[in-house]
Amino acid sequence: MAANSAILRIPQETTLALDVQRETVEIETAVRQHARFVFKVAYGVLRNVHDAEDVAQEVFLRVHRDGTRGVRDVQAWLATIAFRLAIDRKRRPEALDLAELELTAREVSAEQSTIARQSVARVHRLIASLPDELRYPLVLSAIEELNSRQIAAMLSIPESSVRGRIMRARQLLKEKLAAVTEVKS
Amino acid sequence: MSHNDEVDRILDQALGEYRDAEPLRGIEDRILRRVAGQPVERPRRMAWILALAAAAAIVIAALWLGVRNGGHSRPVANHTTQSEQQATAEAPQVEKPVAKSSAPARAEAKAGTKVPARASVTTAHIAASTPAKPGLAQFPAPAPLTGEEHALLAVARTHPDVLLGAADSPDRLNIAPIEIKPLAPEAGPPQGEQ
Repeated sequence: MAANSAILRIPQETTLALDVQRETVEIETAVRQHARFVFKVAYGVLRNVHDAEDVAQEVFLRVHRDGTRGVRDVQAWLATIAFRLAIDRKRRPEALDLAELELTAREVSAEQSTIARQSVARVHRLIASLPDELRYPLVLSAIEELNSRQIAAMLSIPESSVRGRIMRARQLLKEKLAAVTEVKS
Repeated sequence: MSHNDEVDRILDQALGEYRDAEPLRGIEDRILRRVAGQPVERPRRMAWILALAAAAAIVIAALWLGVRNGGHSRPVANHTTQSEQQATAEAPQVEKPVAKSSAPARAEAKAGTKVPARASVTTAHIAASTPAKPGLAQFPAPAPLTGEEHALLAVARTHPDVLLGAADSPDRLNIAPIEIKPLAPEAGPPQGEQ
């Protein structure tokens, strides 16, 4: 009995230090695992590398402050925070910088690359012109780590609505793109 | 390749930007540095706990004081009411000093009507306005009226004119003024002075 009580009587400073140490390990693990994913979610809304990284940092600061206790799906939780912070930031003056796009390297000629860049830039403008309720499901669906259930939770809409909105957004973009191409040709 | 497929390809390529978006190198380290730069929130939680404990202690102390004062406040209130009642009962005794202080009271005193009632109201007002003092209930103890005094009060209430007329009645006791005569000058000096 005396031995048990001696074991239970851990100094408060020790428990605090252990808590801090545990939280430090947790936050480091979370950053290593999810930083890029959080960045992508923020980038999907902001389309600016620096702004997206700022949002990612804010997300993990919040994790550091509030902890992850009681969170079932950490990834969806992080995505929701990142999405909301990015939306808040987007309400500020626009920070669109197409020159900073980091497209994956492809073996294409300079001419083809220029044409592709122009087409992609045109599609991005069309995506940006979509209403928010269509644009966000479409953009978030492009992030492989997010499934439609998580997107539905992030946007607070039913899962079936997510799929319907993605289809409508794609259809609308196709129509607009076709119209633009016809005008150009 | 059909036009529709071409549009799909362009669309997928554009959306691929979101899928393949990469942060600048070293984002994890930058995030961790920023997180490490933030103060640990543990002291804030402890501060919350301490603040709650202090608030609870204050509430308990306030309740305890309230209960303690509540137990004493009732007797004090009784003292006040008793003292007011005593002051009302003693109104005729303190009537003169109060009546001297105000003109309407003086007029009533001249008329000889309703002075005790007026005085009782005034003294009650004074008693209410002055803070109750401990021990006032015991001092001074009111002396009960005698049988003659009760009878006199009854007569004064029912037939005040009788009492006023009694002052002017011929049966009134007349006391002759005292006259002191000066010493006679022809009287000889007292014996033994020579």
